[in-house]
Amino acid sequence: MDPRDLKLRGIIKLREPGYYALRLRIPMGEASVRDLEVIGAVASKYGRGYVSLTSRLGVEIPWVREEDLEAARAELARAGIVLAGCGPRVRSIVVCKGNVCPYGLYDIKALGEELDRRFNGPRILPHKFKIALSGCSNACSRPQHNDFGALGRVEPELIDDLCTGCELCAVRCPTGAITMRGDLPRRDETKCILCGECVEACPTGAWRRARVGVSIYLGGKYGKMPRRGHLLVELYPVEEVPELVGRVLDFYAQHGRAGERLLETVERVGLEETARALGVMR
Amino acid sequence: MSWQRPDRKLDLRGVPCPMNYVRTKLVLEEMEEGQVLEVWLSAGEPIKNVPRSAGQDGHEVLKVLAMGEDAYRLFLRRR
Repeated sequence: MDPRDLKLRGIIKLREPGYYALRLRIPMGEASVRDLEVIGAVASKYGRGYVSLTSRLGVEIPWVREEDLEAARAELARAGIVLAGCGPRVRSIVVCKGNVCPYGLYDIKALGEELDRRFNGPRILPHKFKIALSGCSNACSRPQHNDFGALGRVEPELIDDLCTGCELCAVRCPTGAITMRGDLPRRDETKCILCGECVEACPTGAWRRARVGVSIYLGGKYGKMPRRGHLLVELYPVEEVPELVGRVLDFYAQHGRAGERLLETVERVGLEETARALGVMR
Repeated sequence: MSWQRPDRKLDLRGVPCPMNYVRTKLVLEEMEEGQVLEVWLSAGEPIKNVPRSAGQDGHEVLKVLAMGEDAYRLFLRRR
């Protein structure tokens, strides 16, 4: 069996000859108790009675013998649990807990599920392609260090009449973008990172969310030479993200050289040119 | 403005969350509606959490002033 072919199907060769790990697809990192029971049973029957969690919210069942791979896979498939692809393709999409977390700004689960449905497939790309979504600026899912990252942002707006001039927003602003001018806070747009802390802080609701969107980062990665992705656009409509991901994948498939991550492609083409090719106004 | 003449003062610098708000709340409960409490708080979590908790309990955040680099003066109106 060709290990590369197996990897694409989510079967990973272990150090110990004859043994494999099954990497399971756990969309949005959420598994029902019923799923967990099935996974546990398979890990007991074909593995060594434990699972390991991956950095992309997945589950692996290690220590499956070569001769048991098909039986284990079939048993999982009967319960609707499929293997996650590895190799040069779209990898498991990582999301934060934004749908239950108080800071989540948009329906991250719906967006993640749509991306998973549309793009987490066997299409072969120049290299691996990682997508991470974060519901707010806290960036818990590290979107800046994925090939495509989106994190929730807020454009704040002050309703002057509601402001009591308490200055709490100026105190809380992490970048010093808010200063008091007389009794009213003023926001320096060049310093503001659209984190929404002022809206969060305001005791009277004077700061409100004028617009919610996502910042898009392209080309981030970890690995031997970790890099932060390039900021493609600061505030992008959430509902247009799936189309954008599709265009980024087409761009990468067309311009990326075999073995290079999106970062290298973007830097070779140039960020401005990439943005133009993607139809994004910066 | 009324926040400039607080009725009670409380120095909670160095007191961690949530004890700083517990103590704030105990004092607010002894006060009369409309009175002003000045609380001194450390930077970081305390200045983030105490005004929010006070607001959730229906009190009014009147003013926040920096006190050097690592502390703040918070003025609350008892509601």
